[in-house]
Amino acid sequence: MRLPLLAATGPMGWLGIVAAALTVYALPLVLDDAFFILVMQSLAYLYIVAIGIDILVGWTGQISIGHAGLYAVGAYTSALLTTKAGFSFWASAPLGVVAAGIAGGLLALPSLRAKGPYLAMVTLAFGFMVEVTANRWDFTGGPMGIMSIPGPRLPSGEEMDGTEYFWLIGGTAIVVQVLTANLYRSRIGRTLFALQGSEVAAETVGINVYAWKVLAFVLSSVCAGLGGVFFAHQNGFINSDTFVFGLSVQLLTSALMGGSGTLFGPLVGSVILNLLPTIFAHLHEYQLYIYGGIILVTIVFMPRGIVGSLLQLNVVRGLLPKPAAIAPDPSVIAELREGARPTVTVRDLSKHFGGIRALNNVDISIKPGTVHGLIGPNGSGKSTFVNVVTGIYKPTSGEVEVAGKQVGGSSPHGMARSGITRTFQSIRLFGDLSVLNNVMVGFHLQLRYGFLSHLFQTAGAVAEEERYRRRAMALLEFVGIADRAEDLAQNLSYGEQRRLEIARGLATKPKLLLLDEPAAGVNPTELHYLADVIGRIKAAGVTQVVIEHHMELIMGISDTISVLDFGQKIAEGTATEVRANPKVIEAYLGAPAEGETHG
Amino acid sequence: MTNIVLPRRQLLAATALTALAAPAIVRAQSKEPIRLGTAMPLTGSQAGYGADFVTGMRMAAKDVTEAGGIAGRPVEILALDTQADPQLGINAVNRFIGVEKLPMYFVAWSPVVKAVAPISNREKVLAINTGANAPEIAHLGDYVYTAFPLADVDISKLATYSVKTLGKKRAAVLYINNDTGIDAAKIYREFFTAAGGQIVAFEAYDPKATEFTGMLLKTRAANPDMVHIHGLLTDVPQVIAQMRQLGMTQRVSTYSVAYNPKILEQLGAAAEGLIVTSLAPGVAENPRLTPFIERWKKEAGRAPNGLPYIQYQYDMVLMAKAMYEYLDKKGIAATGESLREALLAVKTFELPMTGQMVVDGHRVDKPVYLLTVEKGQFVPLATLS
Amino acid sequence: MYDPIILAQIFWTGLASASPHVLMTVGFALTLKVTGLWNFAQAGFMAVAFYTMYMALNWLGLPIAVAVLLAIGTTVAASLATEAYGLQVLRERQSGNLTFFIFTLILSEFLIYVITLIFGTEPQTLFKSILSPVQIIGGVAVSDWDMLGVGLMIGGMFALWLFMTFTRDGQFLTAVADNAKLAELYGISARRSYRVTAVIASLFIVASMYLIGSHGGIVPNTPLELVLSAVLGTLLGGIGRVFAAGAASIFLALIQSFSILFLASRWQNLLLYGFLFVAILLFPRGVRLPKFRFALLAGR
Repeated sequence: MRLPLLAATGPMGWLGIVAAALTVYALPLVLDDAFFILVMQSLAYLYIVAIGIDILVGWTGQISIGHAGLYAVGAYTSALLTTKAGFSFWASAPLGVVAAGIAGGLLALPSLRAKGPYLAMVTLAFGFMVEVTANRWDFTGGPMGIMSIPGPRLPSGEEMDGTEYFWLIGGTAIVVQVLTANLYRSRIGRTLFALQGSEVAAETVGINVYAWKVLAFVLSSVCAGLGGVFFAHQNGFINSDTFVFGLSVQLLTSALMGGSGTLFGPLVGSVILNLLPTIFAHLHEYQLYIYGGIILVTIVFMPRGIVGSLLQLNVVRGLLPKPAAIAPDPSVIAELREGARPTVTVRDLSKHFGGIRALNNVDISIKPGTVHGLIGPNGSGKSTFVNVVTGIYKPTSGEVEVAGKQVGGSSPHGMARSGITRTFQSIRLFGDLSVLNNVMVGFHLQLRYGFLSHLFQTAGAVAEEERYRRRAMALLEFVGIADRAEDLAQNLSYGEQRRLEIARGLATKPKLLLLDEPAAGVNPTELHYLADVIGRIKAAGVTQVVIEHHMELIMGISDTISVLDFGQKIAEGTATEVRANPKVIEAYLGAPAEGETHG
Repeated sequence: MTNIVLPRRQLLAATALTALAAPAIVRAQSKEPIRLGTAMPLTGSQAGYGADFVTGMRMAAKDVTEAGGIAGRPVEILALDTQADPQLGINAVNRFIGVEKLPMYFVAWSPVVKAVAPISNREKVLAINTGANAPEIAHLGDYVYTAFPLADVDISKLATYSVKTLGKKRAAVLYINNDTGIDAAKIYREFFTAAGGQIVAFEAYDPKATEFTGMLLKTRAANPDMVHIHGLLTDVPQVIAQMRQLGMTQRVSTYSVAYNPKILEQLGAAAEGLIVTSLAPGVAENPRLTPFIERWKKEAGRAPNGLPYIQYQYDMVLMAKAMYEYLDKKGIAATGESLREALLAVKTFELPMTGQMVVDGHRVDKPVYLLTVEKGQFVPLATLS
Repeated sequence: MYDPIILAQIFWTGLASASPHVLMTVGFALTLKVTGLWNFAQAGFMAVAFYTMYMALNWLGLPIAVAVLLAIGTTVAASLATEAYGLQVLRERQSGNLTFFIFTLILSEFLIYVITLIFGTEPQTLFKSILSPVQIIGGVAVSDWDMLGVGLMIGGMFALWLFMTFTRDGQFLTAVADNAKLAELYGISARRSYRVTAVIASLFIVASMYLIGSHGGIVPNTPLELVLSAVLGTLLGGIGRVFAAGAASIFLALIQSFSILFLASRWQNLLLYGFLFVAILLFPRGVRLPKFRFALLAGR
């Protein structure tokens, strides 16, 4: 029997929520100190902001060092609406949050095209632009800021006092944490972590990486705006002096120090960074020493943050609840068999890089349900072929057709939608996710329940997740690594990781699965498993293209082999035919066979 | 130049700690001390003044306690750091009210005074400005008063003097783009033009700026015969220095912030002719000042930063004494409300360092002393009332 | 306002005022090029450099040459210590970019806290006077400080160019910048190159802080603001292009100086950041194309 909302929150979860609510309620009554209540208020709303930042930085792996700007948008919007337009807090606050979300979206759309340090600097510039504009513009009060900002009013007409305001902020923080936990454990969190693991791999299972990054950015902006709104109404005064680079750094630090990418990291980080100064305030100058010293030590000695480092201790891991065993659902294999089996044709395909013709008028037709090998010497265009067919490159000319329909030129996630997916020569897994979750990401295009359902953890969303976990388990059984389901993907052996990649590819219900040098770096025992898996995939009816150098493997498994050299197809046929083809021998050995070998 | 920073800071830290620990110590004595709170920049770029302000108050507290205290109770100063930053000022005042339960506190630096006003008004705790000069301070609410004359007192008189007595006709106004500069600049403009002069340049500069060439060249092109600079000690010397380096020889005026020996050191000959205002009587007018300066030099090892301001800080303790004793005589407990009424009832205060102070609602009016730099020394120029 | 002499003055003074920023940008950009690190710890080193000189001149009464040498010593020491005990640890742990960033930033803040404790927060200058002798050349005011600044800027960049082009250690810097692991295979020590970079950056830092400290007041926090200008120049010049970063710094400074002619001074900063924002977006060098390696077979 499931609740319609928060359907997967077990008794421990509910206990936690109730305990948190009681703490928030009791704290101001127990402390009864106006100043500390103010400190607690600040802690609570900065915690909300830290959660948002962690979603962007810890989950998705993007950097922003300008979040003070989004915090400012929330603060100024709500402050201006209440002071200049007479809105009540209850109206201006949501509007402030929306404004911050929109600002974040507008910032994200162009900025997320940049990566790494460039993204960091764009956000830095944004933060400064907001600060400078707020400081210079008369509308925002210039350097003197906005005064006499009213606090929220109760239905009785009175303004909330410090305790009641803390209850409001603390309660909101609890709600935000619960919703965030829902996302963390759902496909939403999984997808964002996948982006951090490997954007390229995420694309190949159908994830529109750019759109999801923007989503993460907007979520973090909404949190920042919410924090800003609470800040604006706390002291009745804001000016641009608050929204400085240093604040952005402090927010980042609290997320990082607590443990980025963990569920309670932001809480720990926020508590430490916001309570420390108050605790040590009477030590005046030494306070700064201690503060800076603690942060430095944590960063250097606890690279995964406090919570992250704790989670690595076996003692702590022992306390975590063990995941329940999952009964595999083999219908997923049956579905592969029943799936459409179109012919994939590559017609007259060319790809030029400047003057280099990597592919030159290549024609290959891949018969459904077969294993089609692709071989050729180094530099013959095999990798380019795979990249074009899976959408990483756009063809210069020619077509890729699936069941007669033109799909060439789509983005990688578009190609995935058309049923084409791949594994990578250098394995690209989502290292921070469990083995099972790696496969779950592969189900991306098939999952029906969206953001809101998972935010509120509806019964339908939870049920879908359970169904697919069972199917993922079946796929893991299929490739023979079901016993590693709950381990982290990065802890698998090389061969196991290969097989995991294949399981992920199968999860997309591919019409064509390309395996890019699956035997690279694999030991002879694993090689045996690999051949076995490829055979069983063929038996399950999935069409495969295998690019390989390992002659024994490719000759053994392929129904047809195409040979490329200098970007052109020079031979095609069965293994025996290709092995004897003089053109193939020449391509590999450099001259008509005469016992000469090239190193 | 000896560096007294370390001992002074230790002195401050020690006394702050003592102040916080005071109640415990004093319970051993007969009566509970009266604690006067002051929110000043103890660190940050303005700490040079802020820390000295607190020292001035402590000297007064010592003197008053030795003379019998306030209504027989010893006086202690509780100083919290604002770094002249509004947010930190808010924190400090919240501490005064929430933790220390003070009914009244002193504060300075315009942005801070403005930021803490709503809290004072809401909690009915009396805030007294002792050094900021933004004219808006007179309109910040029922619980915000000033003991220090606002810019409309000295800047207005300076502007008028520049036209009527110095015969200047074309003034350039260069000001820092924050609460300290914006309103004061407007006042200068208003009175300079009212007296018959013309403002030929009116430029704001960023508080963090260090390079003023563009602004100064624009100013030079406007051909002023007087330049008024309204900024802080971190930028005023730079502006003057760069002016001189660009060949601008106009006379410069500024307000009391520059009445500081360090400026003379930094600028050397470039400071000649600089006019500063002072809102406190000087050595010539007040015989108590010379021994006070000597005492300061002995205790701190150097001259005070911003002497006129420090005179006000010292006198604040005496003003508080008058207010508390008024209430004590009537048997009224000291709360924000009652202290406010005491302030308005007493109205006229005879203060040792700054002379008579008449509290006229939310303003005070005082004679303005003009000084100028001659041969590397500050000398009196005029007294305007 | 468009009088040629005024324009010349704006140009000259803008160029001279830019010189300390150019020097610190070149130091920052070189560090980024060779080590791949956005070294915000440079702010802390800048504070160390200035306050060493300040202490030597004003507390110990040493002559200026000795003060400068001392400052080079302490800055190099701080730099090398950070490299050995902080950055190398993080490198070995393969920490992410964000960790490096936060570490270097917090390290700077920490150094600055310590300096604040010792020196207080009053603005300080290296010498009592912040004026320097001025001559009028062709109607333009040229001060000794201006000339020193421009001289150090041009001389410093030229010396660096000579070093990187003609000396072995200098060439190694480029090799390590390009591909540290490959360079190691050829017997070039990446760590030695990092140390050489630290020393060179320190020289530029000391020169830069000497100029700034003799021209106006510094508080311990000033370097944190200054280092951001180094970041801007580096970004616009392009990661890995040290002299372009220097040129970009000059360009930015001149834009700001000349913008006074048509823009109220209060909007100058916004102009700068807006410019940066747009520039980064229009040149999204973050999008990397997968490398295509094409083996060229001779004769075929």
